[in-house]
Formats: sequence, C-alpha cells, structure tokens
Amino acid sequence: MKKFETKLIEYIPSLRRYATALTSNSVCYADDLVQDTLERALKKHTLWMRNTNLRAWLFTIMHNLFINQVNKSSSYVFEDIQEHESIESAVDDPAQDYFAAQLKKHMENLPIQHKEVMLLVSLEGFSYEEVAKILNVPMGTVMSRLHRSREKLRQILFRENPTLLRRVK
Amino acid sequence: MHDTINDKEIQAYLDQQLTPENAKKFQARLKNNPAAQKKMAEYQKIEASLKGLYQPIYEEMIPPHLLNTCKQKPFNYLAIAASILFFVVGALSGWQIENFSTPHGDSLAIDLESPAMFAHSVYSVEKLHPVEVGADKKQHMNNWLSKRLKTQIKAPDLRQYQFELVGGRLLPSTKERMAAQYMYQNKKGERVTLYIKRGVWPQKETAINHSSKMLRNNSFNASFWTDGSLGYVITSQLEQQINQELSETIYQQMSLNKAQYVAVR
Repeated sequence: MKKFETKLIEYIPSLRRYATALTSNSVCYADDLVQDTLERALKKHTLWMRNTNLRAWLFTIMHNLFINQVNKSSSYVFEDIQEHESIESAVDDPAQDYFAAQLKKHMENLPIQHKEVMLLVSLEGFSYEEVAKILNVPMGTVMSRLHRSREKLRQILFRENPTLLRRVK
Repeated sequence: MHDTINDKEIQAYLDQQLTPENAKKFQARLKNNPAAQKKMAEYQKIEASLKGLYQPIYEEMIPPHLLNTCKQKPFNYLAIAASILFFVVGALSGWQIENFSTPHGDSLAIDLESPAMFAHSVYSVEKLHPVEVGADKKQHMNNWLSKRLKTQIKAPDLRQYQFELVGGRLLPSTKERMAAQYMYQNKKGERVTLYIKRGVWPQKETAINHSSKMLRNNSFNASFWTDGSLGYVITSQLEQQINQELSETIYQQMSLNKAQYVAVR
C-alpha cells in the first residue's frame, strides 16, 4: 500500500494540466491552485475513503477551490494571462498550430461550467459518472454541457476555417 | 432507408461509452453516413488538439515547491499524536463518566455508551435482518421511532461520507427505556450505527466523547454525546478519526433538526 503523499505526487502532472487549462493558461495561478489543492488534500486526507478514486477526489477539491475563488475575487481568472503564458503547442504543422490557438481562444469564451466538463472529459479522460460526482451535478447535465461545448467549438472552428479538416488527411 | 446518426451516438462513441460490440456496429453505420463521418472527424480533431495543447505541461518536471508540499507531512505526526490523545482522554473520561451517575439519573457509560456498542456488535454483523424497517420507508421509520421515543428524531444524512442509510430499529435499553438504532453502510460493506436514547443525563450538554472497546472479539470505536434529553452514540469499526468526523456531522445535523423542530412548534 503506497503512502498517501506518494500517491498525491503521482497525480500532480494531471492536476497541473487541468489547472492550467482551467485558469486560462496562467501557469502561475494554476500552480497556486494545485498547491492549495494538495494542502487541502493533506489536511483532509481522513475524509478520503480508502480504495475509492483518489484522483477524482483531488479534482473535486480543486473544482471547489476554483469555484470559490471565482465567486470571491476571480483572482485565478482575470489576471493578465499573457505575461505568464508558457504553454506552446505541441505540434509542428503551422496549420495545426493555428487551429490549436483558435481552439484555445474559443475555449475561453465557453461558460466556466461548460469548460470544466469539457476539460474533465476530453483532457483528463474522466467518465461521465466521475465528472458528475466531481462537479456535483446530474450525469445528464454533464452530457448536455459536453455536447453543447463541443458543438459550439465545432461550429466556430470549422465554419470559420472550412479548409482545415482537409489538411488532416 | 436512410440511417440517421444523432449527436448523442457520436458523443457516446467519441467518449468510448459503447461496448466493443456496439462500437463495431456503430463504425459500420458510420461508414455509410458521410455527414456523421465528417462531424465525427471534426470532433476528433478538437479532442486531439486539446490534448496536444496541454501535453507539454503534463510532461514538465513537477515544480519543487509542489513536491515539497507533499513531502511535508506534519499531519501524520499530528494524527498519531491525536489518536494517542483520544485514547488517553477517552480512557480517562470513560473512567470518570462511569463513576459519575446521580442516583436517579443515567450514566453515560452504563446507560448510553455500553448498550449502544453492544447493539452495534449484535446487528452490524447481521446479514439477513440488519434493520427492522428499511431505508425505503424512511419517512415512516422516522415517524414511528419518534413516536416510540416520544421525541422528534430523524435519520441523519451521511452520503457525503459515502454511507447510505440501511434502515433502523427500535431497541429495549436500560432502565425500561427504549432506544432507536439507525444503520448505515458504504460500498465496501462497512457499517456505522447511530444509537439515540432519551434519558436524564448528568449534563444537559456534553462535548463529543470517544472510546474504544473489545466486544465479541472485535474492537469498536464509539463517539457519544448528549444534547438535552437525548443521548447519541455513533459506533463503528472505522478509524477513530473517521468516527469523529461522522459524529461531528451528525451533531450538526441533529442540532439543526432540533432548531427546525422548535421553530415549527
């Protein structure tokens, strides 16, 4: 049986990835959010039921911290994001780069609740059921928010750039 | 016949919600549906781009300050210290409480803690009949137990700890009094009971006490307190700390119930 803190470390990369995407790519604020999440998890670790999904539990904590921040002062969100920008596209093809940049831009325009669902499913690979638990909403809501987000992005990205798809074999 | 594929189906396939067999069937249908194919490809491109965007941060070295956060673990020592403290305090207070009963009043140890722990040890191992009235008749159970105990009681909600209500039962207790027992169970089959009894307690209100006992070859942890005429005991084989969290939640819910009840009256 691994120690609790060892398990926490295993999940840091995915917590950072989600936090970065969530906080409009501001790595600085993302890492603050990750740190708050880890501290809270360590403090509350007796509340985690053993043999249940630790990763989902950590994301639940992060979601709650994030939403509290958004409601309180929005300090994670509305800082000047350009300054801390450190995310670069992982692909080399310039057209792909352009597409990714557009995607990033339009993700920002999604309502926070929709963005969260999309990131948890598409980026973090959680099941609908897990996402429903993390966000404390019904599974039907998860599915409809997911569909609306995807459809909106698809409409924008492919209507504005109708030739993009053909370039990807 | 033209086969239409709706967005729901596309989404289910995209998120790998289909069984391998159904996924195969879907792929076959997709082949004959260029419109759905195009849509699927567009969704897939969005998915792939999104993953690509954040792959670098995922692969980045973990910043040292985050690692350090995890490596500082004062909580472990605290937890150990706390459990020793609980044990000592529990043992001491148990001894004191045992000797603290007024001639006409009830003793916390004899009339509350002991019968509750014994009842827990009897019914928590029961496979066929753990409760008298099941959680499906919760409203009826609450009314019935309230009537028999001659006071308003209600099964607290412990779902935030993944404990579902199994049901409850009425129990004879000491000094010709009755008690109610609510039972909860989690997915692992671990059980927690809440024992509620009316009495004339040494104090109108106590803090939550904690104790451990060996009964029928098993060790049980109990957390108990009184509030007005009602005594509460939460018993389980879980770690004392979890027991404590549960009892604090119940304590809060119960005082809220009481406030509501008083307000209604």
